[in-house]
Amino acid sequence: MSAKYEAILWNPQKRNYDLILWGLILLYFVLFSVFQAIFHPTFTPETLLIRGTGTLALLMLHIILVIGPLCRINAQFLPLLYNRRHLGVSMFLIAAVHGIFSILQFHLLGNVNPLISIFTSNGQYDSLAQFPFQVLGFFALIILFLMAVSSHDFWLKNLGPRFWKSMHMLVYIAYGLIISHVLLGVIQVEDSPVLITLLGVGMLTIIGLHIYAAILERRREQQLTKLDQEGFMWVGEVDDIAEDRAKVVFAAGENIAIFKSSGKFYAVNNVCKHQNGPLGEGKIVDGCITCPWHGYQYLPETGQAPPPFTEKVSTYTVKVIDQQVWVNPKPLPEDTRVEV
Amino acid sequence: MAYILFYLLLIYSLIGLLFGLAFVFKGVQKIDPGAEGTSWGFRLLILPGSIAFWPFLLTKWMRS
Repeated sequence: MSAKYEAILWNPQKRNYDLILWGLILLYFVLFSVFQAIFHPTFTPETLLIRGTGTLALLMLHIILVIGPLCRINAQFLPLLYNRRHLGVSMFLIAAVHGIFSILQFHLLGNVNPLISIFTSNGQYDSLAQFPFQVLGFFALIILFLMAVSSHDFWLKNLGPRFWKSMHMLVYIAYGLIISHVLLGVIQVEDSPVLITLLGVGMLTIIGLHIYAAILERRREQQLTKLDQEGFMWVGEVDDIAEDRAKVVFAAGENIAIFKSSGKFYAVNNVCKHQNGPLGEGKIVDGCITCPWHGYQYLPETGQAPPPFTEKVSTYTVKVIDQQVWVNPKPLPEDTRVEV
Repeated sequence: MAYILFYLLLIYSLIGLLFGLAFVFKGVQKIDPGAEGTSWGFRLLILPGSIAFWPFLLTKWMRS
């Protein structure tokens, strides 16, 4: 978090994430090139680049789309989520190389402007088998471009969270366009069923994980809650919460994160003010609750971000009786200091 | 139809480019104090978005 914007807020975790990411990207290209040299030795370097970037961008998009549900199913996947925006921007850059080289290869040498040629070179819009699939890829790339250029926190603040979030949900439209782009393209140029089979597996994985994560969340929310006479909700035993970690409970329509640190308990609203990240999946670092998504921090006693930052999350009253932790689901007024 | 869309997109992008350059130099700190004194890296990073979202930013800049 920062009072003044920076191009990228680097930290060791982000550096490692990006190093591993680009190492794997490089590895993919090496393996893809070797594979193609063996099985398709007649391919030109341009074709190799177009196919390599296309398949890699598709693979990365699948990974991006499964990270969210995987983290909701099992917290061990959270490190993947931590710098997902760099993964997204990297995926866009690779998809852009695919798009640009495809336009150069297939549309540059005619007497029509290449960008117009994408839409007019093949006019069989009424044929499924011969559909101009590049048009679908073009629109998907526009969506990915808008998402990539608006990934900085500056845009979240200045476009507004609701508009920003809605725009970034367009990734599912982009995914549909890309799947159609690949399927229709493959039908026209490939005989092998391998790619179509892989696409099917990828789609089923994404849809299945989203449904499974949604079912799990619904089950958690519907779990019967134990209330005492004062309206406090039972959270669990003292030892159920690990040191500097939290347990999240759902009450009165909100997720509440109850943290334990140095023998004290604190409860805050689970939703980070930055990008609605799950605070309860983070931990207490240097005395501050730290969001696992982008490192935004809040003081556990007051829910306030440490000065000079101004973000605040609601706090709740916690009590511990006979080693049992209880929380009052009614949020306290802002700035109320709470610790038990 | 493709020609009309292409030229509309071209005009939109050219206006966006001119606006974007002015915005990242002068306008960004007017609409967001957090951008005061920021680095060239940050300004370069928001340039493509400034080109893409220029009507929205222009409205915000004029209001500020």
